[in-house]
Amino acid sequence: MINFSPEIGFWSPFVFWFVLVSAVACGLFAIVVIIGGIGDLRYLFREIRKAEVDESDDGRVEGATEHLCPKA
Amino acid sequence: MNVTSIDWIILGTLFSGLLVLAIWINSQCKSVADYLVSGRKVRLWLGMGAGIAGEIGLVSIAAMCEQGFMRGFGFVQIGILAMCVTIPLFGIFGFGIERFRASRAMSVPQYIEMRYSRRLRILTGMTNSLAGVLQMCIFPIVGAAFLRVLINAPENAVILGYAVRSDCVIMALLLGCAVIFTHLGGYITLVVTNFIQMIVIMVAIYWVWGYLLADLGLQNFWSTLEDQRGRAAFYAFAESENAYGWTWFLWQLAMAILLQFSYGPYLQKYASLDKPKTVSRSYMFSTIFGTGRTYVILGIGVCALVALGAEPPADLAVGGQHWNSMATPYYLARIVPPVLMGFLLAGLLFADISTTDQYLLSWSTSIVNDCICPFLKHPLGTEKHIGAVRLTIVVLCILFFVVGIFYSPTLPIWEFTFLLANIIGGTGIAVLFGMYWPRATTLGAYGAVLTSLLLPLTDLTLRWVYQAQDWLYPLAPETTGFYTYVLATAVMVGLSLLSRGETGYWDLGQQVREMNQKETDV
Repeated sequence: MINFSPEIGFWSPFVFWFVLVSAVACGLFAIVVIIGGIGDLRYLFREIRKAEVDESDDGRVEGATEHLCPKA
Repeated sequence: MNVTSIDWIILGTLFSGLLVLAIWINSQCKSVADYLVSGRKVRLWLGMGAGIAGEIGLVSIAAMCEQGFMRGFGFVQIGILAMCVTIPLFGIFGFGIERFRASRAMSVPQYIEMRYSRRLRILTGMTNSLAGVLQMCIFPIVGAAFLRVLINAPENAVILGYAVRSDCVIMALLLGCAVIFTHLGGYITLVVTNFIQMIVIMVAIYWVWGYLLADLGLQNFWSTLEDQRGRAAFYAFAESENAYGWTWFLWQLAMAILLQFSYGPYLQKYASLDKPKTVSRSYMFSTIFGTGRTYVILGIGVCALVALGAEPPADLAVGGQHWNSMATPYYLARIVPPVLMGFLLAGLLFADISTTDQYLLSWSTSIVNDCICPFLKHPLGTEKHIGAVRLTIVVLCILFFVVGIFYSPTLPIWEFTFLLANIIGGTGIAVLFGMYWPRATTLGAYGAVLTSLLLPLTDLTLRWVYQAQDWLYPLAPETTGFYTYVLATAVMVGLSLLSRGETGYWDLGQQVREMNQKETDV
């Protein structure tokens, strides 16, 4: 299929096939991610509509998250 | 310019669709947690899809094309070796990243305050934000320069009778887009729009690479790469100045590990996922399949090398480093046909918006939460908190614009951004030891953070001094980067052993197990 330079040896065919297989696998995987992601989008919107607002969950250590960090 | 009407129509239609979607999502955002971490409701596939777009920015596409042009596929062994370490570590065992999610912290400095002290939170918030902002300063101008060459725009445009640099005009437009999308709903908008953008980006880069390979011919593509760059284009550790080498690999590996516990955009993504197990699964799938995407983008840079050769054309008066970065867009501008150009432009614009938005939101969150809020006597409340983050985003964009006007590269794009990421890696050392070593103390963490701050900043400053004096700088970025990590780790361990007293250690492992057993987060 492809002629590789004998001067470079093993790494030229190895890299060729590795890049090719990785690129194809990544492309196929992207299709799986797209299909799965559409389902997750519907879940996200449903959950956000249902969720109650927690005013104290804003990044402060006191309040919302204090109970989660007991001293050793 | 070489962009046709049909290309502008494709770009305009896709952009308008995304904008309408973002406006609608904005109405769904109700709380600070929605705005900053999507209410922690993002599941595996959506998180990965959005993550793919967040990771491929216009600046990283420009940087990878530059690397492909300079070094071919030499990165392959680095990627394989790094995966052998990081996949088991993070993807299978969830080392550290699952514990971070279980802490329910929204940012690294928040965890630092839980584990060490409020003062160290403020320091790490400042150092991480500083490094992140310095790193981001070059994103808009590098992206704009890439786009300017791609659309074959003149160096200067005349606006209202004044000659203005075209890349500055493009930079302003890119930053304007980023401001619009971050104002429309924060992280929740970001996750959804990033997902849509991922689809466009993937279609664009695969289509372009396929088109270029068909045009050049596969045998010609490979044989010319072999002739032009030799063994270094296929083997990262070949004895050649074009090869990456072992120090570069070790630096990258240390960074790949430490940034998982410290890099704001990564951690904000982890914080938004629904449970700790989703974090490690998301990491594993993204890493395994993300490498293929990296090779496709490197391959576009290699196509430019094959078609144009290593040296710039005689009619172009550009130097070596500048040519390396502009060769790919220069080539694409001359080869990509109408319609594909429209999708390519949309893909690149979306790549810029998705990454810039994610990083902007992350660093502005860190500035507000870790550098401003700790000094306030009373909490800001939802509206003022979100307003403060939005105001910070606007101020940062103005800063990026000003820095972009005066930016002059001293290093390849990748190495500049990695060296600044080194500063953030010091926080990773503090977080890592904090999660797993009960003896880790606040003093040790201070030592690690300050060591990682001072050495890379000194290195970058000296580079500018040396460049101004026309001297040759003696240290490679990987040498500074790697030994900074080694020294910071030694300082962390040494100072922790020397200092006495109680530490704020608690076992997050139990929380990870409990949260993973529940179907959804509470």
